[in-house]
Amino acid sequence: MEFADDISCIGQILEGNINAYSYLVDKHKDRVFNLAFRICGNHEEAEEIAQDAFLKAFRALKSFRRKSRFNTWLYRITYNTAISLVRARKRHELSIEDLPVEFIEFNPDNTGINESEYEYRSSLVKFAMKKLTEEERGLISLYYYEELNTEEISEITGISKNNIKVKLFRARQRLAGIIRSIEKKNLVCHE
Amino acid sequence: MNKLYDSEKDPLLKYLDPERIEKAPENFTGRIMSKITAEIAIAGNTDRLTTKSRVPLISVIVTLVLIASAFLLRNVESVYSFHWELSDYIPDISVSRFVDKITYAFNSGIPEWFPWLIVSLAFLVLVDRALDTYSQSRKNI
Repeated sequence: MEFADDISCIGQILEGNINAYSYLVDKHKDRVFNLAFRICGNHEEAEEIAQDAFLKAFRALKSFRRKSRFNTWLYRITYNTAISLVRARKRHELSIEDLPVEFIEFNPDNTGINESEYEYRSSLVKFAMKKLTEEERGLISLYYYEELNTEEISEITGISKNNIKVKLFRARQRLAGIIRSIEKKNLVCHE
Repeated sequence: MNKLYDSEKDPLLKYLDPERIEKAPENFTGRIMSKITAEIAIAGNTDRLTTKSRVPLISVIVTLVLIASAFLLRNVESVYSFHWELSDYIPDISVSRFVDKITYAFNSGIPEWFPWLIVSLAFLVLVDRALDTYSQSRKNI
């Protein structure tokens, strides 16, 4: 099933063609799942959040104002669902000592930029992101992974544009600091 | 990229690659669609149940109201006292003419319950029509 765009697909769904919704789910599932994963930090909860977000979006499809893009609206639902769930299930703070051994065993100087380095960076980011607050994780994810600008992030999170800039700046600084300290530890271990 | 920070100088770009995202698990779409289908089926059943139970409930209420009205209007004395009480609040409405007509109809060959039966049937038909329209509009959503 192919549609010219999300809006024409939504029109079909509202006319009673429920199966057309599978097109929207297929198209946006990875981005929604990724956003949920970056905020909550584990696959099981990310799947729960992503499913919940798609179900909420389906139920509220009639109220979708076609002025904004469907993915922005969907991200807003996902962001709010993820933030609520994470706040309800607050976990213990991680320290750098909790860093899994496999991160430390990798020495980036010994290999070029290959799949294992990507894996290393990916694991590093996953760990470092967990040290941020859920809101910071959401902002970082929307900015870097979804490549949204501050106006779009503001629309999704409900935080003012200026505030987004401030919060994003702080989140980036914190994330960079955490990554630096892990890498420093990594280098010390390999010396 | 949009952006607020110089992509050349942003050290985080090395770690946060938009091309390498976490992918949704297999059959994710299938699971969502199954949940939606199940939800729609449950909503449909609930609707039918609610609509079905509404008709007898409203019928019972209407019948009770009509029985109470018939009991009240059966006694002419109570009819006129009812008329006077009502006239205190709505003086411009001539209730007595209406009551006289009903009393005349009751005194003629038509059974006493007949006008109430007609009114009840008309009311129930209207309610049935309204519920049917409502139910159809919900199905089309």
